[in-house]
Amino acid sequence: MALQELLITLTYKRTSLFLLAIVIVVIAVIYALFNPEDCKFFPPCPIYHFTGFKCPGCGSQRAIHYLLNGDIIGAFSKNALAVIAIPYIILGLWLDYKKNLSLTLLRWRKTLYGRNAIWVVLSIIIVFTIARNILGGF
Amino acid sequence: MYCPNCGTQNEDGAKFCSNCGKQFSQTNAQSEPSYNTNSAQRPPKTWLVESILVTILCCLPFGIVGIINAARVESAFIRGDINQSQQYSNDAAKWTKIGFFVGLAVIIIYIIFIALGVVGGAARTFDNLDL
Repeated sequence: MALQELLITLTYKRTSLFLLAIVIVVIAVIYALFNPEDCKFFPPCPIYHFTGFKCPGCGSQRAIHYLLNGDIIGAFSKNALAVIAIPYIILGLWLDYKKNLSLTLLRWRKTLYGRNAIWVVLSIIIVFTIARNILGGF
Repeated sequence: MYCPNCGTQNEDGAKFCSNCGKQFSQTNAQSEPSYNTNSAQRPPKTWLVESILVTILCCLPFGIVGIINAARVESAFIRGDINQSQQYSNDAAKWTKIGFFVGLAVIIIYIIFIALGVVGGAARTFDNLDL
């Protein structure tokens, strides 16, 4: 069978990456097809459920649904932080797992993901959480 | 350079620590300048982005602990304390993974409950499939 041969020829690491990619694609298809607003299978946020306060992650599932359907403004209105975080996380993962970074990339990593950046990220999360609970709408 | 034993700052190239008297090994003396000359060196894995993912996708408290741990990894690394930095990195890894798997377990249990209990929910799910 072609698939079996393919899996055998791939190394272990490549196989895991391959499986991870399949899982991500399946999850993405589910989130693209179903709107978490209308569908009970998507878990709601326990913090919102029990306290009534929105956490920084509330609405991220809906935001992903809107993003996958090309509606960036809709995604922003559900969870602006999640939309901004996605490119930041992808770039961060790439810089983390790439083996040899050039000096330029090392400097970029330090600026964007170093100690000072981490405190900025934490501040943004806190300010965002307070703002969305007071002002609402994002 | 910093003494790996007590953390006291010593002159570069010193053979013994001025505070605790520990002898510096040759490898320490050699590896130290590379940290000084290249301040943009990559510290041990901080788990920052994974912690942000955990914060946004499932469990806020674990994610916030992860982000603070990431800052500790970077701080220790900037101080030159590689061992401490590595230890914080291990902590960060542990908490990020706990957060991830707790979140995953909650989601799976939730889905099982819905699938078992609320048939109406499933019917609504398929109504929304816009085929």
